[in-house]
Amino acid sequence: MKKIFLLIATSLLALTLSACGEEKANEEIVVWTQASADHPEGKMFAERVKSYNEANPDKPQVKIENITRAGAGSGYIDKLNAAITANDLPDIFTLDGPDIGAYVDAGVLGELDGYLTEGFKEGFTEAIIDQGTVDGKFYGMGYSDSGVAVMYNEDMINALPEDVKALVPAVDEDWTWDQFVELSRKIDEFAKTTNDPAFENYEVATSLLLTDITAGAYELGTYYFTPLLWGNDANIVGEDGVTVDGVLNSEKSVEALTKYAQLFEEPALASATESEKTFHTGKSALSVSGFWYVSELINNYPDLKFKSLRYPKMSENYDGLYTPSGSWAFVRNGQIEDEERVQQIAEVMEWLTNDEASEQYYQMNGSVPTRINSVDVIDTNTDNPYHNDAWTVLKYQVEETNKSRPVSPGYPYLSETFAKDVILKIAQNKATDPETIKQYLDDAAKKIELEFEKYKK
Amino acid sequence: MMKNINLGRFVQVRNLTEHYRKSEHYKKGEVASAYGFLMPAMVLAVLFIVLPIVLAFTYGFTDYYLLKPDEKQFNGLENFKQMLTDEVLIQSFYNTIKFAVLVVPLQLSMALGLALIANKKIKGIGFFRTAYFSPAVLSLVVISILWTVMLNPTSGLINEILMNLGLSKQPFLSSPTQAMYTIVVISAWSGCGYQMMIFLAGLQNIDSSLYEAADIDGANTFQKFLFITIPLLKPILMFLVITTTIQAFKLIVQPMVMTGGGPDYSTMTVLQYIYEYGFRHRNIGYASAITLLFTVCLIVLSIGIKKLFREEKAA
Repeated sequence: MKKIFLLIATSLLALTLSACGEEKANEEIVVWTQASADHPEGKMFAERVKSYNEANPDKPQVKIENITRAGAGSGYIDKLNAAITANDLPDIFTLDGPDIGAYVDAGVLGELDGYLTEGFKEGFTEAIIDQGTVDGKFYGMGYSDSGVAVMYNEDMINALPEDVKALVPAVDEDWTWDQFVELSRKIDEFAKTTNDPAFENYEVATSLLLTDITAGAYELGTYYFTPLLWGNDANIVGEDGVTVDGVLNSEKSVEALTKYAQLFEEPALASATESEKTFHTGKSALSVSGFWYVSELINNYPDLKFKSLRYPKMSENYDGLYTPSGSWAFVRNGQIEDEERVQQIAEVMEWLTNDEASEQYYQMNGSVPTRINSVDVIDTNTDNPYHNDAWTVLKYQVEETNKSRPVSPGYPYLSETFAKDVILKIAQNKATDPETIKQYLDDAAKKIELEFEKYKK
Repeated sequence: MMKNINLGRFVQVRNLTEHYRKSEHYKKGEVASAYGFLMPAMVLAVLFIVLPIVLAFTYGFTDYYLLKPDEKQFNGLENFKQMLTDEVLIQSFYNTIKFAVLVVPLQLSMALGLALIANKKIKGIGFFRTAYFSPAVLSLVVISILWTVMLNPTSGLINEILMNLGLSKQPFLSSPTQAMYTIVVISAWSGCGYQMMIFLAGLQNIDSSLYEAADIDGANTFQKFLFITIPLLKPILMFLVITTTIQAFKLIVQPMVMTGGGPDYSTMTVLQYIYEYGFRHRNIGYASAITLLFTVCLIVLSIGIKKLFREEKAA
């Protein structure tokens, strides 16, 4: 009997202690990120949180939890969605920019206007403010931007005849999609007649990485190629985030995508099934590449000489923003209503995304800065000309032309359908006539409209 | 003699079980400890089998959106009505059935063929048995990635071989007309090793005196296969038909990794569609409704095959 009493007493004591621990934990500000602890991104957050805790010992301490994402964010997002169901979200968490609209629509995120230091929001670049804004209210503080450039294989371009070489613009020059297609065509024609060793492994003129869409990374397709529509004054969804019919399948969209489809006219200049690492291994002369390729190419493919060019504009006359941008952002749990607590949370979010953090993230992880004052941290005068070239282009685009992806509560469906049923389908079926492309767009618009009915109620 | 002893023991155990079942004289402690032992398995079964089925059933009649769990509302047969006009879902059902119809006979024929080869008493056969079985121990994801690389239309090994043979390159996974057949062949290749081992066990249990008698009667190899091997392998064959068919309907990994369900949804399967709707598009209500319909289809299929099996057995 004594033993039973002892067991019950010990259990009660343990429960009490754990309850005390729980209360203490509640004082902490918990941050969830999708980066693993040993990834440079995870390390930079850990460093930033450590410095906050050291600088503010009298304030609630910040605890970071790394929930590694798999593929297109699945592992992390699954955990986040489970936490929403269980009403167990952390104070702050990271979210991919295009997802912000859906989470705001669901009432999961808390507004930040009114809690930030004066002028702090305005310190972000235009694309990052747009990415984090839904219905005029600010929710997401981007800690990293992104960018896409056209890269070319220097050895291959040097082997071209002078008149073709002249088609390559300078690093600080705008160019159009038509010029890009023309250059691709000339390269392909030359590749089929030359014995130059630079073209020894040649397979295709341009690498578009459409295989990412096949592999399930639908968002990459939308990220890379929605700008073709933007640059022709078109879009994939209306300003309200839910109207697709008449927007996605507009005349301007058909016109832009017909020009995109020129790459698949026989003899094709790009392929939906290109080889693994086509550009990296000298199998293509050109590539539409994300900024993360810069460090990958420099570090892992030291023999590859590559130069960078601006993302081509679809219409020469268009003068708005049009280049791909956006990335993950910090958002706050909207279920927390205690004003003091929200203020503390906003302070931590500022610490995690301020000018100093933005510079630190660039230095530690090569993250594209999101703060106007931090863009100059991008060093374009290093010993590596390829690095300098690529970052000159990216820096220009961050400052001048980057545009955030549309805000829509049904963004994942919108993005997947556009990538799969339009961008990939055109490439796979080599559909180049405007009638077929219009049909693809009409079908996609019809599908998305049906799915979006629930957001219009 | 050995068989008789085992049979006797079996009868003893069975009688004892029957006795306990009929008697109502369990002590309370015995009942409690029996439930105690059953409890962990029951809890797991309820949590991971019964509960999800019940939840899927209830969610199938709601508009449950993953990000708004508290706002789900009963919407009657709305999800089921949507299914009738969902062209991709109808295509997914068609693809899944097409896959099952093609892969079951192909995979079982390959497995039986390999088992017949592996059953030969020749030098080094152990190596071949291991080689044939090896795809079965590889992860399906790994297999899918490897084949995707080998089947690449521009630089893949298979097309290089075709070119060297003077044949034209094939698009394989990037063609709406070839992709599903390609997945069928790869799936059959990766799954037949395991079934080969089961066939092999069955082949080795066939009494060699039957073949010797057939030899004396002048039967040729094909006749021995048709009139001795096949009839004696029938129970194993039926078991493999049932398990392979059900497994075939659960296809998801290969299309997900190799084609993403494309091109043009030609390899989209029902399970992949459920996953995409539930987790990518966060529409749990609709995904649950499809799950319900699919579960009912699988149950009907299982009962059908089982009935067929019983009729075969009776005959």
